[in-house]
Amino acid sequence: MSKTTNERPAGLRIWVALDESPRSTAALTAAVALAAELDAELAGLFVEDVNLQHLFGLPFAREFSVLTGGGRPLSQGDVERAWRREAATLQRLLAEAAGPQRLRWSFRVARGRVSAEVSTLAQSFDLVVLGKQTGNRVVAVTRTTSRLVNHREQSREGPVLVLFEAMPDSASSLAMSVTLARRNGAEVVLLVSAASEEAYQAACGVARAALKERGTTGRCVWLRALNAASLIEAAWHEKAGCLVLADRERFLKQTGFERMVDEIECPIVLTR
Amino acid sequence: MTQIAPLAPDRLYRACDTDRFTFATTAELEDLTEGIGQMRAIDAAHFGIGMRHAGYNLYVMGPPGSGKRTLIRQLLDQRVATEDKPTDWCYVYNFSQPHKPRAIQLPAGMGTRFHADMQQLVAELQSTIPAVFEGDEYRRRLSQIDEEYGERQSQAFGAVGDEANKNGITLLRTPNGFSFAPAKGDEVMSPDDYEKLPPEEKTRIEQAIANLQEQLEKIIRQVHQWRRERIERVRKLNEEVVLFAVGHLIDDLRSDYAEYPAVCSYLNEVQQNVIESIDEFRHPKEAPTGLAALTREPPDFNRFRVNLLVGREATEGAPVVYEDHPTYQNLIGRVEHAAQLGALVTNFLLIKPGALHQANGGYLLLDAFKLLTQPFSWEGLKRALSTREIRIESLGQMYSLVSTVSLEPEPIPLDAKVILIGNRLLYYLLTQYDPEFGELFKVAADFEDEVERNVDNDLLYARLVGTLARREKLRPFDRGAVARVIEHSARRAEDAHKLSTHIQSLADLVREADYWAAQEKREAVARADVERAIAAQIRRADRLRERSHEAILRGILHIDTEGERVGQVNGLSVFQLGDFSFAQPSRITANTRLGEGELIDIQREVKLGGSIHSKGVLILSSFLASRYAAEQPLSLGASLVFEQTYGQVEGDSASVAELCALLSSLANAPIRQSLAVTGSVDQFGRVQAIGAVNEKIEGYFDICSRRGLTGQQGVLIPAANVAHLMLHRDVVDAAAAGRFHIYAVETVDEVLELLTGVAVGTPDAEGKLPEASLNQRVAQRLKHLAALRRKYAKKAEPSGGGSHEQNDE
Repeated sequence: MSKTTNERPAGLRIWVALDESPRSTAALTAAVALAAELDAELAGLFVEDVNLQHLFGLPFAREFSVLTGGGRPLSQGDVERAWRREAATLQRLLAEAAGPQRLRWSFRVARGRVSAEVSTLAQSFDLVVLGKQTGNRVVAVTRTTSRLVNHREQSREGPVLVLFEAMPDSASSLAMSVTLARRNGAEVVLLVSAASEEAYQAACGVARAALKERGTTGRCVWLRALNAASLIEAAWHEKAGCLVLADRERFLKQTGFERMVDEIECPIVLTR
Repeated sequence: MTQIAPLAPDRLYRACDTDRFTFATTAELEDLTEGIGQMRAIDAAHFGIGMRHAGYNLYVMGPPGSGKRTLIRQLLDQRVATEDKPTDWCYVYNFSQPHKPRAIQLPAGMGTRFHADMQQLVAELQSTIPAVFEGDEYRRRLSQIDEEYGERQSQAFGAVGDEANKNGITLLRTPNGFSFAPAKGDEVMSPDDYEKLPPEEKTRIEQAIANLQEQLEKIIRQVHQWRRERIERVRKLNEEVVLFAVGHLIDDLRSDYAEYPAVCSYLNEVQQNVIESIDEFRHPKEAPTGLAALTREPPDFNRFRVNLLVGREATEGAPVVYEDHPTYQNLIGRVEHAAQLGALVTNFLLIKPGALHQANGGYLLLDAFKLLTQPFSWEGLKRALSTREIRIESLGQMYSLVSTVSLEPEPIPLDAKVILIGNRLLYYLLTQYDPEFGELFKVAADFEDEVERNVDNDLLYARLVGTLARREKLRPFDRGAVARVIEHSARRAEDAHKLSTHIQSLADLVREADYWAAQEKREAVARADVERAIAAQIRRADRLRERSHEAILRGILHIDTEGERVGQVNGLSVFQLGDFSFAQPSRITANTRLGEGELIDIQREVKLGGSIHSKGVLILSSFLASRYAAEQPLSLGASLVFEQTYGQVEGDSASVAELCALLSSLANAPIRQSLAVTGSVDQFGRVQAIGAVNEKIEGYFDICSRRGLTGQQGVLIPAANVAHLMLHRDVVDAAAAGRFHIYAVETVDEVLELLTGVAVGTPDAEGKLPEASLNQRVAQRLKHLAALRRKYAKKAEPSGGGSHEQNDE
């Protein structure tokens, strides 16, 4: 793993996983907003997919172009050059994003699997913003294809979704969602997981009250089950601009985590 | 000797008979609109204006200030009120060739409406289109398309993914696309693990991957096809939405302008362009700031606007346009440019009309001199008239003076009558040297400088004075004032039997007379006011005359007005100073001596004599030779000069005086200095008419009068000039009192007898001249000179004979 930094690490750190997708840009924007609010260090990460490393060692490795449909042999040199270029671009973007706010920032390049890297690094960071797809699922392939063939993809400007479970566990995620919503002039949508209507209404009341204390309002959406599928559905339905999840350890350990990361198109903010 | 009597006073001034006027003041008279004595020009103008065929444009010629323009305007005003309004012309954006804006013709007033309608349409498009695209229905339908597209992709890639999974193979992203690899758990199998596989397993995997790659290749191609289908469906959806939202707006316009195919065709293109430009309407460019503001195009929908080049909504009848400053651009129109980041840019809205556009369907009046002195204007006008279309071309582009984007607006058909107003010289020069002129200006309206002075025209003149007074809100003129105006007009025409048609000077006189009447607090302008106005005009202009006369009276310029002198005569010279002219006597002297027939005109020798003056002097030489030396060599050396003149002498009006000075010198006959002479002479001694006879007489009279009239003084004028006499009152009064005399002469002999008091003498049957007659004295002198010449000629011969011939005199 390589690391570039502009200053010594600070106490509070926000980790943002980046690639060249539009979601990455949105994630960077969200991370910058949070870092400025929390006076945190911004730590960028670019993960070189270990699967690709395995791939170019195989004798039949070929790459099929999205634009031409044609295949060509995939060499180690090609892949490494592409990684270097992508990492340099992302580092520059991070520096440019942090510059105007005079934020402390660092940038790391790791090789492995995204989920594994997130799990590893999450141990030492306070906040994780995911702006990267895990990359080896069909949904990721499909989305990449769509992005490459459609010249324009508009940045997402939807509401900030925050999973609200119980106070005080959700306090930090609520605070962050309020921060992000204010920055973007977006609405706060409270995802309330409850088994019954009564429980939902009660939790919603608490959530609204909590928002009111922070000087804002929000809308509640009932999650009948708390799993990757219901979160994907809510994000899609609400056309979310950002999703804030507390208790990240729980999600990182879930089996559907990679699918969730790939299928939710907006940045995902994971708090402790 | 013939006795010539001075002219009677009534021949010196032709007064206007006020008894023939039946009005008290001009307030009783009707306006005069048709001009005086200009029927030839008016008929020509009517013809030229009425002929609608190509090339029948009009050149109106006459001296400046003769009222040509006013009269033509009056004729046109009478005519255009009954003519139809011409059409409006608009320029619109050309969607297929933006650098060639299209011209659209519409009935009068419709252009303004079309301009407003398009403005309204754009405003409605700007508000309607974003609203429609932000609506739930549109979003839903767009989502349906996107979902369908996404589903197709997902299914296709999912099928390949499933197929891969079945074979233990995973589909993964690569930097520029996709690839397949054998899986081990959730990861790609490492090369080491792969090497450890049995050969048959490797073969199976490679075969499976080859199949999958083939499928993937097909899918990617399919994805592009779907994408195109999706784009097409979105385009159709957008078109459908736009047509639904705004189609009725354009349909309404199409129905309003159904009779105008050009507008309908344009509206079709507008509709198509609106559909193609949906994004501009949906996401109007935000006003840029900073550097972007300088580099980005400003947000506008100008291409849907209409440039109303010529609108006739507020006009009545056919237009009559007078272009006072006929530059090329003012005439033909121009494409203006605006500076943007130091570069000049333009668009069809910056096309500006020229006078030809404004006058299209009507009449364009131009001053010929101004037109010809403006670079390229004349050529531009001819081009427009001969091609019968107005094509706006940038001079800068034409001559590569500027290098920037310009436009080629569609030419507009030209149907305008061009009326050039100018002087005769320009007309004849153009006729002579410009072959196109005759083809394009087939009709000439030639305005008279003067008209016959008769009872009818006197009355018309009175009406003209009344019209001018009324138009300028002046006092009416009484009969006496009108009479004086008419008399002054005759003087201005330099003919007692003519009236000047110079309207400008007449209008000046009318205004100034009114001023003096106001000073006198009169209700109507009287003769005295006109008289005072004329005197004031002269007074304002005669500073040089005063100085000149003063120099004579103080003896600085030697002019004798009494006594007799040999070889010296008083000629009369006229000085033209702008609109004012005056005369003064000039002392002309002659010296004669032995010579070889050469007559030296000193004025010409020093290049102070004009060609006409030289011609006059040469005629003298011919006259002398034919009358006195027809059968012997003219052994005369003579020199003639205008004494104390330091400028150019032109004209032959002093040739009689010069001849008299010459003969006086030859005959040694003194000339009466109390008389002055004017007139030209031909080779037979006939005296011919000259110009400015009134000024000449008055010039000599003024000197004599200041010195004191003796009753002997007077002026000899050609008899042909008697009809031109309109002398000042003081001259006429002096003549009536016998203190000053005007003699009308027809031959140089009459002049000589009056000047010398010696009979000229005519030869008898044997050819002998009477003794002591002037002719006999001249002949004798010439004979003597001839003899002397022969004597000196013999002396000059080689002395072969050894003897000298005696002088035979």
